[in-house]
Amino acid sequence: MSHADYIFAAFAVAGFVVAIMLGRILLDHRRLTSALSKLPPRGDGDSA
Amino acid sequence: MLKYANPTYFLRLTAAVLPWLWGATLLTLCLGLYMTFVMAPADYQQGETVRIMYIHVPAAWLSMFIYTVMTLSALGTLVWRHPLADASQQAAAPLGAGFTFICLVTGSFWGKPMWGTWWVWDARLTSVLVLFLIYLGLVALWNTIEEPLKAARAAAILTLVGVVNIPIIKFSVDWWNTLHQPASVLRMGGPAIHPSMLWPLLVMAVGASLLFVCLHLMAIRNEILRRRLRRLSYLAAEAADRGLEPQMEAGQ
Repeated sequence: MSHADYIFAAFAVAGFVVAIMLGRILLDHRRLTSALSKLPPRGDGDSA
Repeated sequence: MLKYANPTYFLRLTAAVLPWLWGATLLTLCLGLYMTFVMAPADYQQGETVRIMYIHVPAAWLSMFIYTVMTLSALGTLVWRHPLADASQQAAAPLGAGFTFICLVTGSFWGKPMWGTWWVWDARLTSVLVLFLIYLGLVALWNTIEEPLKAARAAAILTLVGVVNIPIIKFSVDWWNTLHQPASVLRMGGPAIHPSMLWPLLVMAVGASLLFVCLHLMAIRNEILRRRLRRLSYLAAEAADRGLEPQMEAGQ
């Protein structure tokens, strides 16, 4: 491996891990808001 | 202050702030990457491989900073029993594991061409690996205990026990003879690296920190929504049970 390969690999892994963290949070948010919209809101502040 | 710690107010406030924070994060990271690859010079010893430092060092700082945030949240859970503190610890653990993983992997990609090895069991590397395992343990703990209050307390206690590792990581290069180089930025007597390399590093560190703040706020919002969903599902099930009782009695 050349030095450029090591640099590319390091930044690619970092980008991939950040993408996984962000993707997981966004998917979780979509799932939660969809589940909440199916339930009737109760009281102040429960209608998320 | 209590107004800001109210989950409903927190959801409203973060919904307004997050787009601006994401904008600042992307701008800072773009500037940091430009400085890293265009402006920063190659090192006279390490050559171009020094550019890995601009992602490795901010990830290393963040891995310790996130644990400090979790420790403060753990105190919020144990002392004030605040639901936002619980959500903050739970949301931060996977992010801490992610940034520590980036730190370990990018360190290996730097170590192979510079030291001739992917890994050595020296004090700095080993203590960071222990930090990564603590993060994984905390994520597993949150997933194992179903009752959120019990999980929050157990995780808070484990977090407070694990915080002893943070000064060990920081001072490992001073206390023991390590292959890992000593601190060159956060040290007595000021930074030891040239400003042409220091500035890109600081900009990348600010960008990475803003990225963590964005991800953390989004993950806390999810935890608040999850708790709300759990409560509403419980109330809906209870209401359904009450509605069924008269029918069952009539059937008998």
